Amino acid sequence: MLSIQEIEKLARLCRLELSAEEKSHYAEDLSAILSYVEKLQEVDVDSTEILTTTTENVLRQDMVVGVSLDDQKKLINQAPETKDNLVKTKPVF
Amino acid sequence: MDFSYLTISKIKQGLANKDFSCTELVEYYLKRIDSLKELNAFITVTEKEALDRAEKVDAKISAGEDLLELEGVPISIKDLILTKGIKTTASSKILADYVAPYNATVVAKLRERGVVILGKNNCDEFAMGSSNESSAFGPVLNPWDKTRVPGGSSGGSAAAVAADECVFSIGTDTGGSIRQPAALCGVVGLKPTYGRVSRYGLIALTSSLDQAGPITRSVEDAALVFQAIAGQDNYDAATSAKPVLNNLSFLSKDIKGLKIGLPKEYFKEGMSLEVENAIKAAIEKFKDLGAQIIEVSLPHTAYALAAYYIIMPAEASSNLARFDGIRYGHSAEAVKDLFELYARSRAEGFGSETKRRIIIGTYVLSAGYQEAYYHKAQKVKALITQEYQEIFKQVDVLLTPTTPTPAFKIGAKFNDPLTMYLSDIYTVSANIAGLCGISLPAGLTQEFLPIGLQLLGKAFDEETILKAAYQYQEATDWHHKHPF
Repeated sequence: MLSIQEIEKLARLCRLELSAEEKSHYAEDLSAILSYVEKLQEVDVDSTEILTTTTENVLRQDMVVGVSLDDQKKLINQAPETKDNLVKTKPVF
Repeated sequence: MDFSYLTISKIKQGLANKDFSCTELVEYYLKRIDSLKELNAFITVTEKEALDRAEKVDAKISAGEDLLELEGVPISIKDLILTKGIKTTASSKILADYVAPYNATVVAKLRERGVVILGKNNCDEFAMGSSNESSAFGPVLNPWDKTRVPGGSSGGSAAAVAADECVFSIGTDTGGSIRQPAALCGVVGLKPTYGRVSRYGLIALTSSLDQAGPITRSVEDAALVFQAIAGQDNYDAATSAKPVLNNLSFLSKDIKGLKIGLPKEYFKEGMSLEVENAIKAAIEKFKDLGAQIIEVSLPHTAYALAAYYIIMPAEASSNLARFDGIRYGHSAEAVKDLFELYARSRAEGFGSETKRRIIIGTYVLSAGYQEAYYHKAQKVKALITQEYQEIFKQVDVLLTPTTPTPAFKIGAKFNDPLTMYLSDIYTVSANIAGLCGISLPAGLTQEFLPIGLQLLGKAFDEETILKAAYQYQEATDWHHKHPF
């Protein structure tokens, strides 16, 4: 059974503010779901290569593909706070 | 003029013969959408744009110009897919006012072929759900029984198509989200092979599994739309260069000798008696059509759902990290620092199912657990993929029920996430194993609830499942049954 502290640690990692009620709710839910997926431990996978993609890596040329000034403005203006055509944010440090 | 339950070819014919104008057609659908508001299948209705587009189509027809492949066909798009200039919300508060600055490739392709977009369909928030009860904009009602769910996550799309609010819709399928609602709403839903259709412009849930696909009222419409939207795209490096057929002649070829596998693990308990009987009757129908039925075994079937519920939330937690309240979407006010901006914007903007899956995903990717969960799930995924590849050496398609039961009551599973997750049990393998799959109507229960049958094909073999589906459709009349 996941503890409230474990949920708090996860909430911090994924940047989610949770109420006390939500924390205990999710602790229960997660415990149930993790019990279900435990069944994967029954499967013997040691002889299998990890298949993370069914295609090969596809790369493109490493060069700048520009965005028109119009599109740039449109994208920047989606931000709740902008200044001088830049996206504004709270101080990082 | 009776506009009810038209197919793409009937519309093309009707417009070309001037039996009706595109404006009349679009007005029919807009009126219908308005009269069926209660179903809540639409988040945004683009009335003005649709009528403007219809006017342009009518001008082309008057001028005797050639019409494009899907010109004048009124459609809707799941609100998980970006449509330039139109609000795209992912059915979430966090994007409630977000207007897409570009078109998804699937939308661009459909617009290039002349469709009329009627609006954006309601869905489970960020495609996380199997009942369309997790939308920030309210649940969608099943047109066959308004006390029941339409399925999810493309519930709005399936309900809209079933209720004749559009000719077809584009949904997305990560663990069954096209096929399951199609089954519960009595319509056709195709999940193309991963890599067939570009994911550019789809709000990402699980980047290694997501696929967009058509929800239609007939198999031939699904085939037509699939051909229109599939193809390599430079904006999605996972798309395949494999050629897509550009005509429908393959559909009418018979299926004598087609080897249909029945995976015995799918036919264990958990299925309702009416679903079981409908599938049994369908198997007999396929025998009548000359197919050979072979019982097969896929012993790792039971693990596909568990692998899915690790891989999907893991990738979702990564994909949804972009919603930070800084570049777009909801931004919390009166926050004291950057961390609070993130944590509160996301807390206020995301619904409970979304948060649940982000937390699970974070857990299975966190230090100390990634090996035991995420890497293990990827290995099981590889095993399952190989198992299906082996089976497709013995058979051409697999036949299964799409869902274990018909549509359930609204609220019945909502408070038990695990029970909800189990609704995906028959559909998830196709995504995990990299197959293609189609659900088509195969019966009605005594309470007039649709039952869907699923055909699974090997990777890139949409042709075979579409052909088998079409032959079955033409030998039955389930696709002519409508909720009203």
